[in-house]
Amino acid sequence: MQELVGRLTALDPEASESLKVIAYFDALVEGHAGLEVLLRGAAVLSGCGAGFRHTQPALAMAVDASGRRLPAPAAGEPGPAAPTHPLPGGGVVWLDRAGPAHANDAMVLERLAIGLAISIDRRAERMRDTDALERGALETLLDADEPSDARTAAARRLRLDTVPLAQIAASPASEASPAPREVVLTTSVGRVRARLVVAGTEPRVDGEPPTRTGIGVATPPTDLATSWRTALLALRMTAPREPLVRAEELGVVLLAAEAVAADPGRPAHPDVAALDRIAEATARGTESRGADALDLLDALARAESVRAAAALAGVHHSTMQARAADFCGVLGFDPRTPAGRVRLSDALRLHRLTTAQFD
Amino acid sequence: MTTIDSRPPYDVELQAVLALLGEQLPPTLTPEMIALMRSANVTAPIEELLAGRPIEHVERTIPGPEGAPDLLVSIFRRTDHSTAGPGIFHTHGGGMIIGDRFTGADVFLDWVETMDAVAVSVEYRLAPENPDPAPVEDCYAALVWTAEHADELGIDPTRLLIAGGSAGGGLAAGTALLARDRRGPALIGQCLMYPMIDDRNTTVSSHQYVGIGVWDRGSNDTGWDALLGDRRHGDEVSIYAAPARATDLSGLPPAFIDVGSAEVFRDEDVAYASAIWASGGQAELHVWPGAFHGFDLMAPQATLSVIARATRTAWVARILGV
Repeated sequence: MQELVGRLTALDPEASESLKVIAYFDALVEGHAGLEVLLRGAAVLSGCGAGFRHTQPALAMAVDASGRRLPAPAAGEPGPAAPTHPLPGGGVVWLDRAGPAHANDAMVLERLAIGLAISIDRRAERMRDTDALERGALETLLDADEPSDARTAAARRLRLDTVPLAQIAASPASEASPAPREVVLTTSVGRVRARLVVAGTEPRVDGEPPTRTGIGVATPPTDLATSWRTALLALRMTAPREPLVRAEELGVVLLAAEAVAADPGRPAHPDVAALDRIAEATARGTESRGADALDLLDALARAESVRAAAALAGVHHSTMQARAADFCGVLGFDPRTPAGRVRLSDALRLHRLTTAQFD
Repeated sequence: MTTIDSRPPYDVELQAVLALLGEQLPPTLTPEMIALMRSANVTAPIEELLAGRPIEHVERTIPGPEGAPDLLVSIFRRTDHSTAGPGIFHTHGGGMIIGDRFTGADVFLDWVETMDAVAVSVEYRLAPENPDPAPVEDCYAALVWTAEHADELGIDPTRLLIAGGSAGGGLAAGTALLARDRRGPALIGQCLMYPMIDDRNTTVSSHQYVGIGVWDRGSNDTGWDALLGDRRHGDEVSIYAAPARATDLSGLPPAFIDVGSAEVFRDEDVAYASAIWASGGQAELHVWPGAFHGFDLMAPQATLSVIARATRTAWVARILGV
């Protein structure tokens, strides 16, 4: 049959053909046409190029007279004399009309603007829906009690079925800014944000002060509950001088942390109990000799020497010397020896683990 | 079988075009409308199609089939055409009853321009005034003339392709069968664009498009009745008129077949590709989702049309070795 019923060409420049314009755009909107298809409709009907710029979200596109998409730099602004129409919700649509306007230009622009606004709304709705579905899937993956087929389906929903390893990054809910593919979960230590990280992509820790973050061990996507559990332990062991802790770098401390976390009623190890007492004394104010004792202990655990620890903590060398000698008595061991430093470091981690709280 | 109400959805962009085109013409072409369709200027003037293209157009009168009137052919080649290039023999569409040798010309004019091909398009006699076998015999006679005059036309006779859309696709397939059975001109390929090849009108798709779309079931009845008259549906219909009736499709040049999923010809065209494969032949088949009949001609800017044309052109270039 071919061209026997004619083809879709530009409208009559002189005569008003509003009904055609309306019918064409109505059909496109009804069929959920995308932005480029709507724009191409305007170009084909008007016989000249067309474009739009939308403010929020920022979107821009332009096509030439035959409906071909123009490269991004060309899609920005209408020419000074171009017929335009505002986009509901912010922005503008235009025709690249050289010379006097045609009879249907205003109607084409009006219908294009309406169509684009509807299409943009639908996109936003779809993205919200997608985010919600992804959040649901992530919650399923983080729940060790979910059956394995539910976790497999959730991994597929998150497009993780071909990803060998994934990780969870945990941050306090109040500190991290919202991002896609993350959920906020209420834990025994407060509200924590769990973010999905595909292994091999470096999680960002930015902001000032940096967001405290614990990175869980890398696991197959269906075993992300393990990564989440270890991420939360790592988060609980972050410190002002160590805002990012990776579960995989904790060594055997991870095993100790798992044992402690699994049994909250168990009496604290004497080393940890000593630190607990120091912290309580500081909180009560009975410890009144200047700098925070735990901060000094943290510096001692991290620095190579007492002198370096003093520099790290910002106190005089002699002050640190005197305090370190005092700590020997409270701790029952000397944190200035290599073995003592390691023992102190481990005890500090477990002390943080048991005292961390996030709101 | 009665009308089938479940149908593949139209492509969104093509559906909007259909909404406008539908106002210009009812989906069903009846015998009473043939005269009107012929008098209405249904094909763009050839001068318009050639404007701005470096292509010259020459008309020639050539002998028709034995005992039949002479035929008019249009020859298109680049104005700078010098060495023998590929040849395209074109049979136009129009349901066997309407259209002329310029119908659908912009498709092969692109190949003339970009591949330095020489195209010959034949003004075959139309039904019902000239029922079968007049149209396909005219096409065959013009193909023989083209092959015999290849030197003079600037065509490399080893690279002669036959191409046609709709009824022209059916005539191209029928002419290729005649060339095979009469040991006529060698063809390097057959480009069958949504070809009309089955007079029986019994496929599922022929029952899905009744009173909707472009070239519906009723239009198909009008075209085949005009071509075959009382012989239609019977055993006397030749495979050259209705190639879908051929059971042996061996010994044919490689075929390219494209068709929309939303048109009457879908199932007969898919079956033709399958029959070619069953006979040990080569065929490339494309079914474009949600496309109506002749979509790439009526809505050339639509995404699906752009892709379909590029796919077809790529096959032609591959077959012609350009």
